[in-house]
Amino acid sequence: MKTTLALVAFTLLVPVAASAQGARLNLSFLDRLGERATEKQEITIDRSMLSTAGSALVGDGPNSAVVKQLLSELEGVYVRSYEFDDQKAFSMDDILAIRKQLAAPGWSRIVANEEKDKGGNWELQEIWLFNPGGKVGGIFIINAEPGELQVVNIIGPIDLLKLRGLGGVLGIPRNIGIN
Amino acid sequence: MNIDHELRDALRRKQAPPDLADRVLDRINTSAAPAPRAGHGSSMVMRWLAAAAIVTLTVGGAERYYTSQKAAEAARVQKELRMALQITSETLAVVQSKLSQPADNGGR
Repeated sequence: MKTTLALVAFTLLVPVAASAQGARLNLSFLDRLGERATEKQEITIDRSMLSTAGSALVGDGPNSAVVKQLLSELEGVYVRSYEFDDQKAFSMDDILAIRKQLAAPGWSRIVANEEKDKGGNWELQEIWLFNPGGKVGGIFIINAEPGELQVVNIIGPIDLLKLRGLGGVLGIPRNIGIN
Repeated sequence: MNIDHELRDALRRKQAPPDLADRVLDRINTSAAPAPRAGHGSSMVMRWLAAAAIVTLTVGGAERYYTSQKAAEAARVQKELRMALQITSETLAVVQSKLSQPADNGGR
Protein backbone atom coordinates (compact mmCIF):
# COMPACT_ATOMS: atom_id res chain seq x y z
CA MET A 1 0.00 0.00 0.00
CA LYS A 2 2.80 2.37 0.98
CA THR A 3 4.64 1.49 -2.22
CA THR A 4 1.55 2.28 -4.28
CA LEU A 5 1.11 5.63 -2.56
CA ALA A 6 4.77 6.47 -3.12
CA LEU A 7 4.48 5.61 -6.80
CA VAL A 8 1.36 7.75 -7.18
CA ALA A 9 3.06 10.67 -5.42
CA PHE A 10 6.15 10.28 -7.59
CA THR A 11 4.03 10.16 -10.75
CA LEU A 12 2.25 13.35 -9.72
CA LEU A 13 5.37 15.20 -8.67
CA VAL A 14 7.55 14.52 -11.70
CA PRO A 15 5.47 16.63 -14.13
CA VAL A 16 5.32 19.42 -11.54
CA ALA A 17 9.09 19.45 -11.25
CA ALA A 18 9.50 19.38 -15.03
CA SER A 19 7.07 22.26 -15.42
CA ALA A 20 8.84 24.29 -12.75
CA GLN A 21 12.10 23.90 -14.57
CA GLY A 22 10.44 25.25 -17.71
CA ALA A 23 12.65 26.93 -20.21
CA ARG A 24 15.54 27.36 -17.79
CA LEU A 25 18.37 25.02 -18.66
CA ASN A 26 21.12 23.91 -16.31
CA LEU A 27 24.29 25.40 -17.78
CA SER A 28 26.56 24.36 -14.92
CA PHE A 29 27.95 21.60 -17.12
CA LEU A 30 29.86 24.31 -18.96
CA ASP A 31 31.71 25.51 -15.87
CA ARG A 32 34.68 23.23 -16.45
CA LEU A 33 34.95 24.52 -20.02
CA GLY A 34 35.08 28.03 -18.63
CA GLU A 35 38.10 27.09 -16.56
CA ARG A 36 39.98 26.25 -19.75
CA ALA A 37 38.85 29.26 -21.77
CA THR A 38 41.20 32.09 -22.66
CA GLU A 39 38.29 34.49 -22.88
CA LYS A 40 34.91 34.02 -21.31
CA GLN A 41 31.68 35.81 -20.59
CA GLU A 42 29.38 34.18 -18.07
CA ILE A 43 26.27 36.24 -17.55
CA THR A 44 23.34 35.34 -15.32
CA ILE A 45 20.46 37.81 -15.11
CA ASP A 46 17.26 36.82 -13.35
CA ARG A 47 13.85 38.48 -13.31
CA SER A 48 14.55 40.78 -10.35
CA MET A 49 17.74 42.02 -11.97
CA LEU A 50 15.91 42.62 -15.23
CA SER A 51 13.26 44.67 -13.49
CA THR A 52 15.99 46.73 -11.84
CA ALA A 53 17.89 47.60 -14.97
CA GLY A 54 15.86 46.61 -17.99
CA SER A 55 13.81 49.69 -18.74
CA ALA A 56 16.58 52.10 -17.72
CA LEU A 57 18.85 50.49 -20.29
CA VAL A 58 16.82 51.68 -23.25
CA GLY A 59 16.79 55.32 -24.23
CA ASP A 60 14.46 57.03 -26.65
CA GLY A 61 14.65 55.89 -30.23
CA PRO A 62 12.70 54.34 -33.06
CA ASN A 63 12.95 50.80 -31.66
CA SER A 64 13.00 51.66 -27.98
CA ALA A 65 9.33 50.78 -27.41
CA VAL A 66 9.82 47.34 -28.94
CA VAL A 67 12.94 46.71 -26.90
CA LYS A 68 11.35 47.93 -23.67
CA GLN A 69 8.43 45.59 -24.19
CA LEU A 70 10.81 42.75 -25.03
CA LEU A 71 12.83 43.31 -21.86
CA SER A 72 9.80 43.76 -19.61
CA GLU A 73 8.52 40.33 -20.59
CA LEU A 74 11.79 38.48 -20.00
CA GLU A 75 12.25 36.35 -16.90
CA GLY A 76 15.91 35.55 -17.27
CA VAL A 77 18.93 35.82 -19.54
CA TYR A 78 21.74 33.30 -19.22
CA VAL A 79 24.75 33.57 -21.51
CA ARG A 80 27.99 31.62 -21.67
CA SER A 81 30.60 32.59 -24.24
CA TYR A 82 34.02 30.96 -24.35
CA GLU A 83 37.04 31.24 -26.60
CA PHE A 84 39.93 28.78 -26.48
CA ASP A 85 43.45 28.76 -27.83
CA ASP A 86 43.12 25.06 -28.51
CA GLN A 87 40.89 24.48 -31.53
CA LYS A 88 39.81 21.16 -30.01
CA ALA A 89 39.37 22.35 -26.46
CA PHE A 90 35.93 20.76 -26.23
CA SER A 91 34.03 17.97 -27.88
CA MET A 92 30.43 17.20 -28.64
CA ASP A 93 30.30 15.17 -25.43
CA ASP A 94 30.97 18.32 -23.42
CA ILE A 95 27.77 19.95 -24.58
CA LEU A 96 25.73 16.76 -24.69
CA ALA A 97 24.55 17.26 -21.11
CA ILE A 98 22.81 20.45 -22.12
CA ARG A 99 21.39 19.06 -25.33
CA LYS A 100 19.87 16.17 -23.35
CA GLN A 101 17.77 18.69 -21.43
CA LEU A 102 16.29 19.82 -24.71
CA ALA A 103 14.65 16.42 -25.05
CA ALA A 104 12.17 17.53 -22.36
CA PRO A 105 8.58 18.20 -23.44
CA GLY A 106 8.00 21.67 -24.82
CA TRP A 107 11.31 22.12 -26.62
CA SER A 108 11.43 22.07 -30.39
CA ARG A 109 14.38 22.71 -32.66
CA ILE A 110 13.69 25.31 -35.31
CA VAL A 111 17.17 25.73 -36.79
CA ALA A 112 20.03 23.26 -37.01
CA ASN A 113 23.33 23.24 -38.82
CA GLU A 114 26.05 20.68 -38.19
CA GLU A 115 29.23 20.35 -40.18
CA LYS A 116 32.16 17.95 -39.98
CA ASP A 117 35.28 17.87 -42.08
CA LYS A 118 37.82 15.13 -42.74
CA GLY A 119 40.24 16.67 -40.24
CA GLY A 120 37.88 15.93 -37.38
CA ASN A 121 36.76 19.52 -36.98
CA TRP A 122 33.10 20.04 -36.42
CA GLU A 123 30.73 22.86 -35.76
CA LEU A 124 27.17 23.14 -34.65
CA GLN A 125 24.55 25.85 -34.72
CA GLU A 126 21.08 25.33 -33.31
CA ILE A 127 18.09 27.37 -32.20
CA TRP A 128 15.50 25.77 -29.95
CA LEU A 129 12.17 27.20 -28.83
CA PHE A 130 10.37 26.29 -25.64
CA ASN A 131 6.72 26.50 -26.58
CA PRO A 132 4.49 24.26 -24.50
CA GLY A 133 0.92 24.67 -25.63
CA GLY A 134 1.98 26.79 -28.59
CA LYS A 135 3.10 29.72 -26.43
CA VAL A 136 6.79 30.59 -26.59
CA GLY A 137 8.31 30.56 -23.11
CA GLY A 138 12.00 30.59 -23.91
CA ILE A 139 14.76 30.15 -26.42
CA PHE A 140 18.06 28.33 -26.54
CA ILE A 141 20.79 29.22 -29.01
CA ILE A 142 24.09 27.43 -29.39
CA ASN A 143 27.02 28.15 -31.64
CA ALA A 144 29.93 25.74 -31.35
CA GLU A 145 32.93 26.19 -33.61
CA PRO A 146 36.56 25.09 -33.26
CA GLY A 147 37.93 27.06 -30.33
CA GLU A 148 34.69 28.92 -29.73
CA LEU A 149 31.41 28.26 -27.94
CA GLN A 150 28.40 30.48 -27.32
CA VAL A 151 25.32 29.37 -25.45
CA VAL A 152 22.27 31.58 -24.86
CA ASN A 153 19.23 30.67 -22.79
CA ILE A 154 16.55 33.35 -22.59
CA ILE A 155 13.45 32.77 -20.46
CA GLY A 156 10.23 34.52 -21.39
CA PRO A 157 7.84 35.00 -24.29
CA ILE A 158 10.58 36.08 -26.67
CA ASP A 159 9.95 36.76 -30.32
CA LEU A 160 12.89 36.13 -32.63
CA LEU A 161 11.75 38.90 -34.91
CA LYS A 162 11.74 41.30 -31.97
CA LEU A 163 15.37 40.45 -31.35
CA ARG A 164 16.11 42.27 -34.56
CA GLY A 165 14.83 45.36 -32.80
CA LEU A 166 17.89 45.25 -30.59
CA GLY A 167 20.05 46.27 -33.53
CA GLY A 168 21.15 49.88 -33.20
CA VAL A 169 19.51 50.34 -29.80
CA LEU A 170 21.82 48.84 -27.23
CA GLY A 171 25.11 49.47 -28.92
CA ILE A 172 24.51 46.39 -31.04
CA PRO A 173 25.29 46.64 -34.76
CA ARG A 174 22.18 47.50 -36.71
CA ASN A 175 22.65 44.93 -39.45
CA ILE A 176 22.61 41.76 -37.36
CA GLY A 177 19.73 39.61 -36.31
CA ILE A 178 17.69 37.15 -38.27
CA ASN A 179 15.45 37.57 -41.28
CA MET B 1 50.31 64.36 78.37
CA ASN B 2 51.15 61.00 76.96
CA ILE B 3 49.46 59.30 74.09
CA ASP B 4 47.44 57.05 76.32
CA HIS B 5 45.69 60.02 77.86
CA GLU B 6 45.10 61.64 74.50
CA LEU B 7 43.36 58.52 73.21
CA ARG B 8 41.18 58.19 76.26
CA ASP B 9 40.21 61.85 75.97
CA ALA B 10 39.40 61.54 72.25
CA LEU B 11 37.35 58.37 72.61
CA ARG B 12 35.46 59.46 75.68
CA ARG B 13 31.66 59.08 75.21
CA LYS B 14 30.02 62.47 74.78
CA GLN B 15 26.36 63.34 74.92
CA ALA B 16 24.90 64.32 71.50
CA PRO B 17 23.53 67.85 71.20
CA PRO B 18 19.76 67.90 71.77
CA ASP B 19 18.97 69.34 68.25
CA LEU B 20 21.10 66.80 66.38
CA ALA B 21 18.13 64.72 65.17
CA ASP B 22 16.32 67.83 63.82
CA ARG B 23 19.43 69.03 62.03
CA VAL B 24 19.99 65.63 60.40
CA LEU B 25 16.37 65.45 59.23
CA ASP B 26 16.58 68.99 57.86
CA ARG B 27 19.73 68.09 55.93
CA ILE B 28 18.07 64.95 54.47
CA ASN B 29 15.04 66.90 53.28
CA THR B 30 17.24 69.56 51.75
CA SER B 31 19.30 66.94 49.83
CA ALA B 32 16.18 65.10 48.52
CA ALA B 33 14.85 68.17 46.76
CA PRO B 34 17.84 70.10 45.49
CA ALA B 35 17.30 73.54 44.17
CA PRO B 36 17.29 73.69 40.35
CA ARG B 37 20.67 74.65 38.98
CA ALA B 38 21.01 77.49 36.59
CA GLY B 39 21.04 76.30 32.89
CA HIS B 40 19.79 72.77 33.61
CA GLY B 41 16.80 73.09 31.18
CA SER B 42 18.89 74.25 28.29
CA SER B 43 21.31 71.38 28.89
CA MET B 44 18.48 68.85 28.46
CA VAL B 45 17.41 70.53 25.21
CA MET B 46 20.97 70.34 23.94
CA ARG B 47 21.10 66.64 24.77
CA TRP B 48 17.89 65.98 22.87
CA LEU B 49 19.11 68.02 19.93
CA ALA B 50 22.37 66.08 19.87
CA ALA B 51 20.50 62.76 19.97
CA ALA B 52 18.18 63.90 17.17
CA ALA B 53 21.16 65.02 15.09
CA ILE B 54 22.87 61.65 15.56
CA VAL B 55 19.72 59.78 14.56
CA THR B 56 19.21 62.02 11.52
CA LEU B 57 22.81 61.60 10.39
CA THR B 58 22.69 57.84 10.87
CA VAL B 59 19.42 57.38 8.98
CA GLY B 60 20.47 59.80 6.26
CA GLY B 61 23.83 58.12 5.85
CA ALA B 62 22.29 54.67 5.70
CA GLU B 63 19.76 55.81 3.11
CA ARG B 64 22.47 57.44 1.02
CA TYR B 65 24.60 54.30 1.22
CA TYR B 66 21.62 52.11 0.23
CA THR B 67 20.82 54.39 -2.72
CA SER B 68 24.40 54.39 -3.97
CA GLN B 69 24.62 50.62 -3.60
CA LYS B 70 21.39 50.22 -5.56
CA ALA B 71 22.63 52.54 -8.31
CA ALA B 72 25.90 50.62 -8.55
CA GLU B 73 24.00 47.33 -8.74
CA ALA B 74 21.71 48.71 -11.47
CA ALA B 75 24.72 49.92 -13.46
CA ARG B 76 26.36 46.50 -13.16
CA VAL B 77 23.21 44.70 -14.28
CA GLN B 78 22.78 47.11 -17.19
CA LYS B 79 26.33 46.43 -18.33
CA GLU B 80 25.83 42.66 -18.09
CA LEU B 81 22.45 42.82 -19.82
CA ARG B 82 23.92 44.89 -22.65
CA MET B 83 26.71 42.33 -23.03
CA ALA B 84 24.26 39.40 -22.91
CA LEU B 85 22.02 40.89 -25.57
CA GLN B 86 25.01 41.73 -27.72
CA ILE B 87 26.31 38.15 -27.53
CA THR B 88 22.79 36.88 -28.28
CA SER B 89 22.47 39.08 -31.30
CA GLU B 90 25.94 38.18 -32.56
CA THR B 91 25.27 34.47 -32.06
CA LEU B 92 22.06 34.78 -34.02
CA ALA B 93 24.01 36.55 -36.76
CA VAL B 94 26.51 33.66 -36.87
CA VAL B 95 23.68 31.12 -37.15
CA GLN B 96 22.10 33.20 -39.86
CA SER B 97 25.33 33.42 -41.85
CA LYS B 98 25.93 29.67 -41.53
CA LEU B 99 22.45 28.94 -42.80
CA SER B 100 22.81 31.32 -45.73
CA GLN B 101 25.99 29.62 -46.90
CA PRO B 102 25.74 27.23 -49.91
CA ALA B 103 24.22 23.90 -48.92
CA ASP B 104 27.12 21.83 -50.32
CA ASN B 105 28.69 21.59 -46.88
CA GLY B 106 25.94 19.54 -45.34
CA GLY B 107 24.30 22.51 -43.65
CA ARG B 108 20.58 23.11 -43.71
